[in-house]
Amino acid sequence: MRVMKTFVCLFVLTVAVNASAQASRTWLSGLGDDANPCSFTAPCKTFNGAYSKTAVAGQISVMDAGAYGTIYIDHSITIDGGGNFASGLVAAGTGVRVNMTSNDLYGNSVIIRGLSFDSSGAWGYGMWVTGTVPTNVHLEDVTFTRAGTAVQIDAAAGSSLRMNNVEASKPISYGFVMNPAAAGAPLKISLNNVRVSQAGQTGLLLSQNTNGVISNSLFQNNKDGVIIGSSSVHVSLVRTVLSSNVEDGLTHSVAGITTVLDGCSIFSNGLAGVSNTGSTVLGLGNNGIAYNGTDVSGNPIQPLQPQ
Amino acid sequence: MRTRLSTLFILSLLLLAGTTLAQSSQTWVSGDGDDTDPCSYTSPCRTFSGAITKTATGGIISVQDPGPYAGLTITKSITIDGGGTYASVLHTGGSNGIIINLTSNDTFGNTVVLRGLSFGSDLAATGVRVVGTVATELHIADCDFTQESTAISMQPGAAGSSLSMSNVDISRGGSRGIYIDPPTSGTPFELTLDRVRVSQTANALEIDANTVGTISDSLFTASAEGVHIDGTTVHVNLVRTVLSENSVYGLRHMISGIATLIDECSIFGNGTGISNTGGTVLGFFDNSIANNVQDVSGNAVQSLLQQ
Repeated sequence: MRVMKTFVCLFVLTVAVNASAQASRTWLSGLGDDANPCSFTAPCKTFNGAYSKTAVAGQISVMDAGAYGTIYIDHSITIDGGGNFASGLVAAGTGVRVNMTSNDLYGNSVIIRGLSFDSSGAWGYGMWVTGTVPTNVHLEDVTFTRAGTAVQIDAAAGSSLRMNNVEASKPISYGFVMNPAAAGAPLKISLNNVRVSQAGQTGLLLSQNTNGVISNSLFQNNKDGVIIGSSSVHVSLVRTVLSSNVEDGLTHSVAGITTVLDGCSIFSNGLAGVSNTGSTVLGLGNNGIAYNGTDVSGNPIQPLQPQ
Repeated sequence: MRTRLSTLFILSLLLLAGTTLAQSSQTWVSGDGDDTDPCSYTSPCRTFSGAITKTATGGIISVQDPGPYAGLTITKSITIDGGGTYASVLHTGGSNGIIINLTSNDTFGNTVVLRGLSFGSDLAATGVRVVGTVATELHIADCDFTQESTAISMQPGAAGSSLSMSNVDISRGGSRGIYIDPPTSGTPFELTLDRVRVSQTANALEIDANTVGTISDSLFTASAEGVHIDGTTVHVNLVRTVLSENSVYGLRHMISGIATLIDECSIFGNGTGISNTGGTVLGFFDNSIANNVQDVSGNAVQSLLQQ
């Protein structure tokens, strides 16, 4: 009987520990300690330390500009640097790794807000999304400096990416890469006010099976501005600048792609402003294309009447 | 003898250890810090110049509070991140704010990133000045400059340098807001200005030689001259940019043979909107040029059809 009581006590204690380990709101500080409960008054020290104590769909708040390391995410979560632009140095490898393998009750949703990631220049990803279930990622007010690739999406079918005010400076290879599952529901993207400059390869690479809009954005001084690699990509570029890229502003690298340009500025690219062999670019009669090596190569821009 | 040798050995070991310790990939400064500290999060330094000696090449100096932290000289790739605090770099009495003087290539692309800093002076010095003998890349984001003689002066000694700026405010300056004066030959200087605002200086933006790039969503206002170009090897594109209320010129081509592209710009209320003697200004029938004492002097704006 006594043994039974001990078991009950142990069980209750275990439950209590688990419960306290999963708060819906946790905090991080440079002064924190991962042995703490990650409360406001006793914050944790690393992203991964706080993540393990944060409930599914909870929020990790960052209190100051500490160094919080990398993070591995496998369920819905929000990480909010607030106005701190809390910075993290990612020595190598991946800053934010998202890899969900089962659905949660909160839409498999990852929100990252107000953070800066600096890489020391080693190859790696600022953020890398993989997984076997549809994953919804939202980045707001985030900067990536000197990553190998700032954001790489290799997600399952039916995923989405929303980015607002996101900057990738001098990525060694790519700014943003959309490479979701080739079959199934396309990746839905909404990129607003994103900027990629001085990428060693391409500012935005849309490899396959992606739909969406890129607006008020800037792809400048990269090797290439925007490359679309498959006819399963359908995007519109709105009020977006593609300029001074060493090769092309916009490339349709295979035939059969259709892209819409609305109010874009495509200037001073070394090879083609728009490289469009065997594909379709629809323009609303409001795009400026000039001072490129060749303004448009391949099929001319097809006019689309504004309504 | 043995004692002396071992003492020397131990001393050199200690020195080596000291040097290693002195170079962290991430360091911190605080208004409460002390430059004799190691610049760790818990023992931050007091000044940027104290912190940079303890920060590895390609590393990051993070800021814990507004400071001020005074100026410094940078000779290697580094990020200084004021986060959301807009850390103050107050420099008076003729001393410059940040001098960037790289004289040898490093493995981080000779890249300096300044983010979240607030520069203030007494109209007697330069906020950020790039000199040096190797190609240098400077990225400035979310910074403001007040009362600088020249806010940003790019005079790199090597061709192939660059400046990219995003969300930067320059107000109440002296001779120049942004001054671009790279070597006259070799790879052109790459200029990317996005959401840059300059007001109340003599020349808000002055570009003197061998520069290509795009200026978007920016504002050059209430100065003597908005954009002042003084070299036939300068070719820039102005997109959705406002040149207004400049007492002498909105856009000025100082000499003949300069070509500039304007796309959806607003040029209002200047002495002369565009001064273009012997030069080329290319538009797309989408620029508004009005209410200047003289809208365009010299060659008229040439316009291409949009697509």
